[in-house]
Amino acid sequence: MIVQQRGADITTTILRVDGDTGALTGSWQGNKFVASHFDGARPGLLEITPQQDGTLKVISGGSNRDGEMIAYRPEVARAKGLPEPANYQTHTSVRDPNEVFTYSFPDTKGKLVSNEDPRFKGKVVLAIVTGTWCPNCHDEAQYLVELYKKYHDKGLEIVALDFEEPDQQVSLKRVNAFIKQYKVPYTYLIAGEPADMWDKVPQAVNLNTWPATLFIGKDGRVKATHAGFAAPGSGEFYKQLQDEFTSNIERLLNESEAPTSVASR
Amino acid sequence: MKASNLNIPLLLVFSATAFCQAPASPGIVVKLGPVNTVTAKAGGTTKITLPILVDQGFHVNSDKPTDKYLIPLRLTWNAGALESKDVVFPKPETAKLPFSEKPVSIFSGSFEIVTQFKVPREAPPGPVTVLGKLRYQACNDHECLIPRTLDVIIPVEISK
Repeated sequence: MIVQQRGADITTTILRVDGDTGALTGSWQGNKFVASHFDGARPGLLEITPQQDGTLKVISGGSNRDGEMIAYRPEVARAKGLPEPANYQTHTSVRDPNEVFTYSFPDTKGKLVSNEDPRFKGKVVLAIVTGTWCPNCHDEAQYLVELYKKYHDKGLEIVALDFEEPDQQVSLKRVNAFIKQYKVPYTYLIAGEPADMWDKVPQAVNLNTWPATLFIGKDGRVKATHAGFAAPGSGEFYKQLQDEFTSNIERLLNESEAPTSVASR
Repeated sequence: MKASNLNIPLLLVFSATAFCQAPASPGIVVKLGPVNTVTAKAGGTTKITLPILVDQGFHVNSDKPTDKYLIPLRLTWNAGALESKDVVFPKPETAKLPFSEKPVSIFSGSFEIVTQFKVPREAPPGPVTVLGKLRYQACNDHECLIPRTLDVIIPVEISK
């Protein structure tokens, strides 16, 4: 939960794992902050009451629909031994960061494309584990198209490693519709079925979310990862993601190319 | 009363009292509830109610998702001693989630799926096992998990 206060006014955003977030704005009323928004489908309402012990009592929906919640400052939460929020940058990693990240899958025309393809040599590559059945992946695709336009001429490549349901493997109808809908300009490879994920991307550790983004440097090695994708509707969290992605890309673009290891052969 | 100066830092953490944070390694987030032995009479009908619990923090697409590309919730039954008829899902929730421009049709928390079965007249009395599969796909507003299929095993006692 992020709360920004300016005088009597607040803006608050919650990355709720049960899926109802977005930026709410409000002000001090009586003895609490009341923040709300209306997204066209339903109203969102939060009542935030500061407690004597420094916590915040948070009631969502105005009717205690979700129960009463208590918000703790991070240091207090850690002292209490509460689990840390999910860290999307460390949730997924690779077994050996010194190992070149390898892949070899057919594109939508059936042509085999691998990490050795000349288009990826010496480039910064975003490898995206994705699937058309995954709504968060649809959001990320739109963002990736923007990134591709902005950074492709500076040396960025993007490759989608797509996992589709068995009945979609033959016709690729949904994949082709996805590519058309979002005007995907980057390489799109058909990696297999979702259940194949761990076999097809064996170098990844704790890879269990869709989407998952692997930032690969010019030397072909994974430099950073990001599990999931905070959609634009998540307000501040989307902004944080944008900052993280662009920071990673620009840092890697500025790095000099190192010789590629022969370990992948 | 004057607005108190909260001096709120950038990030607050929710306690576990209202809902739990997502586990560090999300895995199987849908559990099947226990089903007591179902009684059925040869030549009659019977009903099987399957309780389902979705871990706090996640949802599954309903049986009729709003977008064609979403994997729907499906409960199917193997051919066997009982003949499945209607599979009735509860009314889904409609939620506006950050990743979708339009509301999505989902199930979360605990809910039940009810299936009507027909018992053949010639079914011999005694215990049988009804087998099925529940196919689901879970997400939260930040990530999706691998689509999964759970085995459903229901004990049934057939009487004359």
